[in-house]
Amino acid sequence: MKTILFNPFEKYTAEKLILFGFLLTVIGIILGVSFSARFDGVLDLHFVTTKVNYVNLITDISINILCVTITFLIGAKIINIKTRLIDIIATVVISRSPLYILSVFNINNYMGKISETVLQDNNLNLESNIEFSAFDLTYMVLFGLIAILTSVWHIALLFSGFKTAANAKGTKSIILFITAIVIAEILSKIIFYNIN
Amino acid sequence: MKKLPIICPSCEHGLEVSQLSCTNCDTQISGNYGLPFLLRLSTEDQAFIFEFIMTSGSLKKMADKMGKSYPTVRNKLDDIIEQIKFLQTEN
Repeated sequence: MKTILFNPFEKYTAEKLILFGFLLTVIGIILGVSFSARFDGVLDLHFVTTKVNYVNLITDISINILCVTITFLIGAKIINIKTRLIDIIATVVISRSPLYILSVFNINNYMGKISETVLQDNNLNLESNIEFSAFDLTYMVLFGLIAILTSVWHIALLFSGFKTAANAKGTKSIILFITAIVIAEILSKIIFYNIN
Repeated sequence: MKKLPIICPSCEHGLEVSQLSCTNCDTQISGNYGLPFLLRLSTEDQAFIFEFIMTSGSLKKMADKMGKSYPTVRNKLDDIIEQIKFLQTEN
């Protein structure tokens, strides 16, 4: 079970993983549209109050997959020239699934409305006028905890996939992995900034 | 089958062959003979190399047989190659 959740790349073929990852991506797109979630960055998930359509979600996810695939492939090739593109794609599509699960928590755009309230408050400091109910606060704390867990799961999947694809070992590999994620995040943000 | 010891249990240095005997006529040969590289690998690595030969060097077939993914099997082979290179430089 631990292998399936955290390192499916060790056991399953890249073809099977890509097929499963593609199915998860389709589910992610449907969930994103249903729960008004935007994946506007490699590590990002934002809930919006504006209408989200399928084109938005397909664009978001495609850009993210492309950015991580490019930077991961370069990083992995530096470590091991024999790294296959197919293994990197499998890593990227599978590792995004925890983020899709997280979008489910925006029932009735609940988190989106809370975010909007916070962002609209110009006096966001200790003297802020925003008053949250006990339920709002509990929901936010719970969501925050689940968001941390899913983010850790996402990164763990990315790392195990990268490690398996490139036979990555040692400090140099960890540095290249972190660098690849940071560059992918910056790259995706630049693309999103230019297309929006 | 008994497992061939390759590491000295006392000082952890690599062992060498000092005596060979014929089970047919009881002839005994003494001397110092270094173990071949393959015998200096772990039993697990030796089994991997055996499987590699039996599948005609197809990592894909090996991955299917072992229930592992292709990169996992290729990584194992790369690690064994690195180990053999290390043993070669050590000599």
